[in-house]
This record gives sequence, C-alpha cells and structure tokens, in this order.
Amino acid sequence: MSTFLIVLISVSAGTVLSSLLACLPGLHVYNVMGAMVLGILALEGSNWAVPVLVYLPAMTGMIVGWSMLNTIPAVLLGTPDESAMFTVMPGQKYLMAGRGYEGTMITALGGLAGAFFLVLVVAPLAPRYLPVSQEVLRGHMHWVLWIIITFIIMSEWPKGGNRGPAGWAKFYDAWKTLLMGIATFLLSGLLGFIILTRSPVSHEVAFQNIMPAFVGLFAIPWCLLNMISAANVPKQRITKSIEVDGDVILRSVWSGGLGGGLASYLPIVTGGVGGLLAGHATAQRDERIFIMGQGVSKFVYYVGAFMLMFVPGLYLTRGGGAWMIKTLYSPIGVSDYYLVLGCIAIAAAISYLMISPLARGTLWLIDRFNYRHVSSFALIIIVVMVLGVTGWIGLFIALVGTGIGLLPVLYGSRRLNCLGILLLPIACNMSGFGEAITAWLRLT
Amino acid sequence: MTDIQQVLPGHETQSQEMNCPSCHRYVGAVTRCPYCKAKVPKRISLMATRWAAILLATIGLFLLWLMAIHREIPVVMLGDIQPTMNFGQIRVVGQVLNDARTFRNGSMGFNVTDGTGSIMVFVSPRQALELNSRNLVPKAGDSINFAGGLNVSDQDMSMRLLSVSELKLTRAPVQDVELSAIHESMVGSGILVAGKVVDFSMPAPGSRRPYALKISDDTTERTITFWEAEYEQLANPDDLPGAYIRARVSVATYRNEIQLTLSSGADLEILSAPPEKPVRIQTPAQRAAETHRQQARPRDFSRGRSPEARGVAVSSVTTANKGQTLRVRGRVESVRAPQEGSRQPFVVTLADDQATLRVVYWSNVNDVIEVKPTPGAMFELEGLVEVYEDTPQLKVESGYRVRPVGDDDEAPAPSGEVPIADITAADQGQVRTLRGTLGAPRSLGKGTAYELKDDSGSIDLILWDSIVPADVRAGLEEGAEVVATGEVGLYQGQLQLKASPGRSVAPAR
Amino acid sequence: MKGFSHFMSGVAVASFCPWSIDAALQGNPLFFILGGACGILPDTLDFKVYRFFYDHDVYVTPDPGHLDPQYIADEIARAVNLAYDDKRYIRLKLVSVRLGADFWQQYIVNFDNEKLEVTVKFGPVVNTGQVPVEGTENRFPQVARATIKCKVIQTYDAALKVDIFDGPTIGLAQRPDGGLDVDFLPWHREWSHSLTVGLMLGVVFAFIAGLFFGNWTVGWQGLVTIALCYGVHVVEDQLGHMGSNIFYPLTKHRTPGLHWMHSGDGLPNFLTVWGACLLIFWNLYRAIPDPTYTFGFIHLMMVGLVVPGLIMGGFHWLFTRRDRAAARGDDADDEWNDMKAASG
Repeated sequence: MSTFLIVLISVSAGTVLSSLLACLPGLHVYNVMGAMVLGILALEGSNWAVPVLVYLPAMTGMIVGWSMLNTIPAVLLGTPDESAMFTVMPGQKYLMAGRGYEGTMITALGGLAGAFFLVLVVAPLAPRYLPVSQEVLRGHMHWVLWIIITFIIMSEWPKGGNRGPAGWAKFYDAWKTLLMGIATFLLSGLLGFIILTRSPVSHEVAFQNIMPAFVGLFAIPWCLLNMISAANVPKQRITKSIEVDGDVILRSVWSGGLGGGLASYLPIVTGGVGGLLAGHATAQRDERIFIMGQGVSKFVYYVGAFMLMFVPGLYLTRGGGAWMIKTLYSPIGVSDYYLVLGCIAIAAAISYLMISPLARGTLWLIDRFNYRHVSSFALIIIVVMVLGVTGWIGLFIALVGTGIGLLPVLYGSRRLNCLGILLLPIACNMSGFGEAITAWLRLT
Repeated sequence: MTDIQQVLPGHETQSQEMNCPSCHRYVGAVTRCPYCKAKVPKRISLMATRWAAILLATIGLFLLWLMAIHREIPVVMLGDIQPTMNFGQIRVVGQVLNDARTFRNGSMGFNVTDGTGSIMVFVSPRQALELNSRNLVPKAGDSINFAGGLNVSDQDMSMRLLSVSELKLTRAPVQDVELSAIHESMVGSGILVAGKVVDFSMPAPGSRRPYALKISDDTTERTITFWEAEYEQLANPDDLPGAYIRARVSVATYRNEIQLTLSSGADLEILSAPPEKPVRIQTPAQRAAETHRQQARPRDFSRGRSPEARGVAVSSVTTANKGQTLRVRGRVESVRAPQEGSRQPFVVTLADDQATLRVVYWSNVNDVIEVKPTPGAMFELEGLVEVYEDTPQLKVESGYRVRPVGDDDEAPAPSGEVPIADITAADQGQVRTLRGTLGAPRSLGKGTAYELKDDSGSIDLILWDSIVPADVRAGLEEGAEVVATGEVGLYQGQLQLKASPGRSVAPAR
Repeated sequence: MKGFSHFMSGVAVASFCPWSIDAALQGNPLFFILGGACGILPDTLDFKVYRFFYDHDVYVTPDPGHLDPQYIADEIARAVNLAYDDKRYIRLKLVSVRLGADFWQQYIVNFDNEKLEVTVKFGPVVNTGQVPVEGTENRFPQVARATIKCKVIQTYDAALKVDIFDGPTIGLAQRPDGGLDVDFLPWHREWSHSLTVGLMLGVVFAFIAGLFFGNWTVGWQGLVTIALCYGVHVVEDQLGHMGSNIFYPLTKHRTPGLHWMHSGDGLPNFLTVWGACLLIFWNLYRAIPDPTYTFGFIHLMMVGLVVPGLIMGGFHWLFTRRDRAAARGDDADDEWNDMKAASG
C-alpha cells in the first residue's frame, strides 16, 4: 500500500475514532492517547509493531477530531443548574435558549476557521519567526508565568457585595468568592507540588502522573454536577443556518487565534488561560464572536501545540500530545512537518463534516435518555481509566482533585484557578525557589 | 417562580431551588435570601456535594500530602528505565562518571552510572550554587545516591536533580600523582597534582580559548586547562605565576593528548611551600574506586549493556587483549616480592598447561590480599592486560580481586564457563559464561527471560531484543541446553545474567 | 481602558527598567510582577475594596418581585431634592435587578431639565452580554415621573442605564447656578487614580525593602517601578472621558479626560495590549548581548503590528463595507461588563 494511502487511512481512522469519543463528556483525548502510547510501546519490537506512518497521522487526527468535536458535550451535555452554580457558560446559554445546535455549529465553525488559520497562516510563518521569539524569551518564561498568575488572581471579579449598606459585611460578601478563588489556586498549587515532586503514582506510569489530578479537577466535577443537576434540557431547535458573517469569523479568528496561540506557545499555559487573556485583550462583546472564538482558541491550542513539535528548527514540545509522541518519535526535517500539516487539514475537514450529524445524534440521545445517565456512564469510564492506568492511588488523587475542582463551581469562583496545579509549582521551579518550597513542605 | 422568570429562556426547566421559597425572588446558588433573609433549602445531593468538596479539598489533600512525605522514592536501575517513566521521580545509586560541568547559564551537568546504564543529570543554577557552597559538586569516581525527575524521550534520557538535601555523595579518594606518572588509564578520573607554576596564559578578551596553567614538578611539566567560570572561582589568581600549587584535576584526552582540566577554582590551592613528593599509597577504597572507574560503561541505546571483563584461562591471554580487564585462573608458579625500600612490584607467574602469564601488583595491593598467592596454589586474579616487551602481563589493581580457588575446584573450561552456584553478588558487572538448561520463556516486553539451570543452581538469563539477534533468540526453547555469556546483574535482589550483545547464547555441544 | 490593557502597560513600563530584566535573568520575577500588579492596582483598589466601603445617602433598591418604576423615580427625585435642599453632595445608589444567573431587568433613568422631572422606564430583560431577551421588551410600557426641584446636568455622556452586575452610583454635586452636576461613579478614581498615590506606594515599598529586608537597592528600584507603572494607568485613563484625581491629596476633584476614546473600545484596548507586548519583546531583545537573530525596531513593528494590522484591517473593511455603524463601547463596559471573567 502506498505511503499516501497509509497516511490517509490512518488519519481518517484517528479522526473518526476521536470524534466519536469526543462526544463523551469528561473524556480527554490525552487520556486515550496515553493508553495508545502504552500499547504502541508494548508492541515495539514484535511482529505487531505499529509503524510511525500509522500512529503519527492517527494521533494527529485524534487531536484534531477531539478539539473540534468536544464542543458537543461541552454545549449539549451540561445543563447549568442555577440553584447550584453561580455562572452560566456562554455555550450553555445557547442550550438554555433551545439553540444548542446553533451554538455547537458556531463553535465548530470557529474550529474550522482555526484550522485554516493554523495551516495557512501560522504554519508558513512559524519556522521563520518562532525561533526568534524562542531566543528572545529564553530565560524569561518564569516571569511570564508569574504575570499570568498575577493577572488570573487580580482579574477575578467579586460576585457578591451588590446589595446592602457599605461596610465590612458588604466587603466580605463580595470577597467570599474571591477568597474561594485564591484558596482554589493555592490548594491546586499544593496538589501540583505533591504530584510534581513526590508523586504517589508508580514511577512505571509516571508519564500519566498528572492525569488523575486533571481528571479530578475538571472532568469528574463536570460529570458529578450533571448527575445531581436539578435542571432539565429545554426543547432544542435545529437551525438550517447560523447568523455569522465574514467579520464575525475574522474577529473570532483574531481573538481565538491570539488566545489559542499564546496557550500553545507558552509552556504550562492552557487554552482556558489563553482564552481569558485574549478575551481581555481583544475586548469583543458579541456573544457569537465569543463562542466562535472559543472554537478557534481550542483548535489552535490543542492542534497548534502539537504542530510546534514538528516546526523545523524549533521542535518545541508543548501540550500533552506532543509529550506523549516524544516518547515514541522525534521529528526530523520538513517532511514530517508537511506530513502533519496535511494530516491536520484532512482531519479538520473530516471532523467538521462529522459534527452536524453527531450533534443531531446527541440531541436525539438527550431527548430520549436522561443526560444525567450519559454523565454517569462517562464517569464510570473515567474512573475505570484512572484506575486502570494509575491504580487506586491515582483514583485517590482524582478524588482530591474533584474536591478542589468542585470548589470554584459551587462557591462562585473561576475554574481557571484550578490551573494552579501546574502554574504555581512550575513558576516556582523556573524562578529557582521551588526547592525551598518543597523543602518547607517536607516533600524534599 | 414569578411570571417573568417563566418566560426567561431555560428557566422553565430550572429547579425551584434557585428562588427564595419565602419571597420567590431569584437567589441562585446562595443558601440565604439576600432580600428577605429567609433560608433557601437546597437538595441533599447538592449540600452533600458542597461539603464533600470542602472535605476532599482540605482533609483529602492533607492525607495525600502525608502519603507523599512518607513515600520513599524507589531505586530504579538505569537499564530498566522505560519511556513510560517519563516525568517520574526515581532514586539512582551509582557512581559519577565525570566531573560536573558548569554551563554558561550557571546550571550544571554530570553523568552517573549504576552498572546497568548511564544518565546525564542536570542541576539548576540555584542548586549548583548550593552544591558548590556545601562542597557537594560531584567529581568523577564519587559514589552518589540521589533522587531526580526523569525526562525520557525516544532518543535520550536525562534526569533533573530533585533536591540537594537528598543527595548523598561519598568522595572517591583522589590519587596524588607525579606529573610523569599520568597516563591514559587515568582518563575519566580525578587526580591530585602539585608543582610550581612556570607559565600562566590567559585568553584574549572575547576569545573562547581556555586558560592554561603550566606546572612543573621534579619529573616533567604539564598544563592544566580551565575556563572563565573556574577562573572566577580562583581565590587569588594574581598570585599564581611562580607559586607552588596543588590541584585536583580531571584527566581527559584532547586531540589524542592527555589533558588535565580543572573543574572548579576551589579545587586549586596555592601552597606556602614546595609540595612533598606524592607517595603512591592507595587505600583499598582508592583501589576499589579505581577498579570501579575502569569498569564504568559509556551510555548506549541498548539500555546500558556493554560488557568488558571476561573470564579466561592463562593460555587465552594474548597481546590482543591489551587494555581489557580479565579474570584469569591458573596455578601459581612463582612469587617474587620486591626488594625492601624499592618501588618494584610483586611479580607472580601464573600458569596452565599451555602457557605462563606474568602478573604484577604493588605493595598496596598486596596489603589487602587476604590469602597471598603461593607457588603451587590455584588462584584467580583479575586485572588489566598490559603488554611489556611484546608479552602480555596482567596488572592487578585491587587486592580484592585476588583469591584462591582450591585444588578441587574445576579448572575453567577453555571457554571460561563457571558453575551457576559460583555466581555471587560480588560478580556484579562481571562477564561470566554459564552452561545450563533453559526453563520456560517469560516475556519482558522488550526481551525474554529464561531460567537457566545446572546441577549447582539456577539463575535468570535475560535476552534483550535490541542486542541479541532475533535468529539467536528464535533458536532457544524450553529444555534446550545452552552456553550463555553475559554480564552478571542484580534485579530486585535476585542475580541474573544479561546476555551479551551478539551471538552470546548458543546450543551446548 | 480595560484591566488587561493597564496590566500589560504596567509590564511594558517595567521592561524599560534595566534592573527588571537583570533580575529576571537571575530568576527573580519581582519587578515584572510589580509592574503588572501596579498597572492594574488603581482599578483593583476601587472596584474590589473602596466601593464596598463607600456609603450612600439614598439606595434605590427595586424589588424584583414587584417591579415599580414609580418607586425608582420617587427615590431618585428624593435624592435630587435632598441635594438641593441641604446644599450638600448626595450619593445615590441605583441597584440592579437580577432575575436569573444570566438575566437582568434593565431600567433607564432620564433627567428632563425642561420639565424638571426625572423619568424612569423599565426596558427589556437583558443577558449578561446586554443582549435583550426576546419577548421582554414592552412588558412595562409605563413611564414613571417624579418632580425635581432643580436642573440636573449630565456632563458625562454615559447613559443612566442600569442593567448588569452592580448598579451605578451617582453623585449629585452643587452648581453655582443652583442646579446639580451628575458625577458618574464618584467613588471611582476619587483618590486611587493619582500619581502621588503611586509614588507613596513606591515609598512604602522602598521602606519595607530597606528596613525589613535590608535591601535598599531593591527598595529604590521597586519605588521607581511602582511609581511608573501605577502612573501609566493614570495616564491611560486620562485619554478617556471620566478623568482622574491626578494629584490626590493635593487636588480634590477629578480632572476630566481628553475624550479620545471610551474605556471599552475594542481597538484602542487591543492596540495598547499588543503594543505593550511588542515593546516588552523589544526590550528583552535589546538585553541579549550577542543575539543570533538581529532586527531593528522598525522591522519589529512592521512584522508585528503594521503588516498584520493592515491585512486584518483590509479584511475587516471588506466584510463590513455595508455596515459602517460599528457599535461604540460604553465606559460602563470597563467596570461592568466583565462577562468573560464571570464565565471563565
């Protein structure tokens, strides 16, 4: 079989697989890729060894497919319970207005626009300009992380303090949520110090050290809150068109591309942080731009981070996907770069075409089945995965992470503060006083 | 719910708990109405989740912290490191292969081996400063026990030192050597040299050339090389010209010439008087360290398996073995002690049916030999093969490598086979040839293990796919009698023989 | 300007201080953190501390369960008349009406100086993006009116539209002609947005660094960094409408701004952020002793700003040829419309 066909089939298979898996809430593509890496390593040297030309396109397709299609559970499978949560995400607003399908498609369109942006704009310029910025920023990443941390903490807005006479009571009412945000950041930071310094997870699966914590901080709370939600999904309408024009797409690419690009390039900074920074920087008010920008940002973040590993002259390892690939393969030359770019383009097209039928299918599903059961099923898969890869200790870490991850949602602060798990310990280590802190914590 | 709330999108499907039961105003997630101050009851599942979150985030985290601080970081052999261990924290116990090198940004790096492989260890600039201040900068030959974070990719692996406080370093005694006595066998090790500075040349500003400090003792002259980082660490560099100094240097080669390198300015001491001549006394630890150093293996992608020492009969030792470390068994023909007060070595003549071999060692080695070789006794000696007047001789450097084997011990077969029961933990890192019967194969992922059994005992035979050819492995099966050559190792307390690269396992004839 | 613009401006100003980069290369992020934090600090002091202690004379608190525009009009009129009668500064708080996690009942207050009355009308229900909810536009067609005793002059052109988050505060100040001036958000930039306050904070930092940590060098470097970065926030806000009390406590009132922009305008905010990033990049580049890649300032600006800006601008022009009425930002956006922070 020709190389072209092998690559085409592999990328298509990876895209389709991840697109289907992306519909399950809480399951992250990096978890699935981690299991795949284990399998590939186990088969190495045997008659069933998986060649690079199969797993590389497949994994590229998986990342693209997931980043495009995980919009579906994010928008359609999470009904905000206003008796439990303080804020409603923009995608959820569409769901509550019966426009969940429309919201999903707007986000997906953002993902497609992100694919064009990545392949046609970023890819040709990256080999020329990113090495320059690498040189300029060398030695400065630590304070970049610190100012991001500073902004995350200082930019959080008090949710209370809107009623009553002036005084300490009003001040405390306002600061309750801010203090909870700071507490979330510090608790997750402490969890990060523990895992990155003296992880209880077995060293034999250390490459998935952080997975239980992330699952606990983000995925499990999502599932749990769905399961106990007292809100139901309003009747949904499937529209034939969406109200966007070229300017909305342009501004979404501008906003989302900036956020996703920052997140993919800067170490430790995730898509949520990038989105926050870009949102504040571009000051877009239109909700369509916000939602579409999220689609752009997510795509550029996940796929862009993966792509950076293949940029000739750069070979930057960013994002969990790239770190996992690095254990199997080190890219060389421009041919790998073109291969990955081609796979991104193909996978983006396939996944975009899949989103409409899968969104409709999901709407059909939630019309007939209680979305809480879907979340329960997803929770079981997550728990089995954590248990299978990292054992009981991983499950305990996930539980602790769940506690921390529930705090912002139930007590009115930002989920973003949970990223302290990586931001705080790594910023401290980069600045050189991480060891002083771990010594004080008796971890070293 | 009020009328208006009923028309708000999605509110018709929301729970009544978002409104105050008393005044019916929207209150959201709070538990007390900000309008009428009435309590807003929430369902049990929600309250339980809220409390569970607090408890898990605090008590759960505390328990996790307790678990972490009481967890021992496991010791992992470098040869057993897998890609899935990336980001893992492991402990390595081994020996430093080379003096730690300071990089331009102030960080440091050094290589460590534990006999199964080697790895580069990186130290951050702050940790490097602390290592310097606590005199813990690793030098070649030092024994080291440290914990670090792994970075494993498909092409290489490295570690990042986790904590200076968890690093245990046992200094390898450094040999005080006359300048003329420095030779190639010392490459990779640290030595002490002393002499008078006869020339000190500094590089031109902006140049990347090193500093060159030429010193002279009674025997010859040598140049010590170092760079800007080390120069800045010198206490009084202006006092160097013409001064007597003592320095700990690393021996390396550069363009086929011996090069002495100063790793740290703190390793150079300006003396107030001419130094005394070095006395070549070596403690057993020094000899053991030197022997261990010579057995240090370079890093390779076959997960560190690169055997050097082989057990052979006297007649098997030829000039072609020059530079190799061999264990030789034979009958002692004669022993000649040196004249008192002289610096001559002990000379032992070892023989078998076909040849004789001259074995030399010095007094310090003799001091620690428990059972001295005597004419007529069967002995086994391990040392470095040298060529003297076109004839091979064995230079023994450790008295612990000299032992009697007894007359009723079987002489080794020409191929150097030994009974399995003879393999002990002291043989770690040595190459042995065993004959036995294979047990059932067990897959190790990237290799296969067989139990190898003979009349005296059994041992695990490990064949790694990356170094033992497929056709060799394919020819092995349970019940087959084979002769296997490999390196003795210890894994999880059990001895094992790791088959050497190539056709090291063959059917017995 | 939006908080992030001020924040990045502070970081950019810090990057001009050579000690910031030297310290950063030694692993010390202090000065850059100070730069960003002090860049955003004036607004933090106002919106997260001071406003909760700012007492009001009259609180207009509509009942979400029983929406009555007349109550609002009467209370506002009472505040105006109190200011007129007592000849003192009256602080009036208009509380927002929350109907859901994402829904707010809008009401609009207008002062009719011809008829000497205040009018109040309930508008539609809006979401946190201030987008009206369909079907809620004309639920309250009635316009409530209440008589006031004097003219009320609005020099600030922000609409008295109360909808999302915390409602506005109005200050009613005496005019020489007997009327009242409306001060929008009187507690905002009352003392916090002052160059002298920034300098004083720097002095405090210097003393702490010197006396408690014995490091006077860091002390004076911190003083300069804080004063400059805090000051850049004040300077940027002067480009808007509200202005600031620039030399508090030496000055007593806000100096009106230059009216060059609204604080919520998208393009000026983005240009400020992006320009700050490029300046930071340039300063970091200048500090490299022997760079592998060399480029000039003009080259950087062309590649980083001008060329992509022209391309984006060209596409934007193409896509919006038919509709040139771009929505202008509202100064209320800066402080009130923190939609992304709330949903983050």
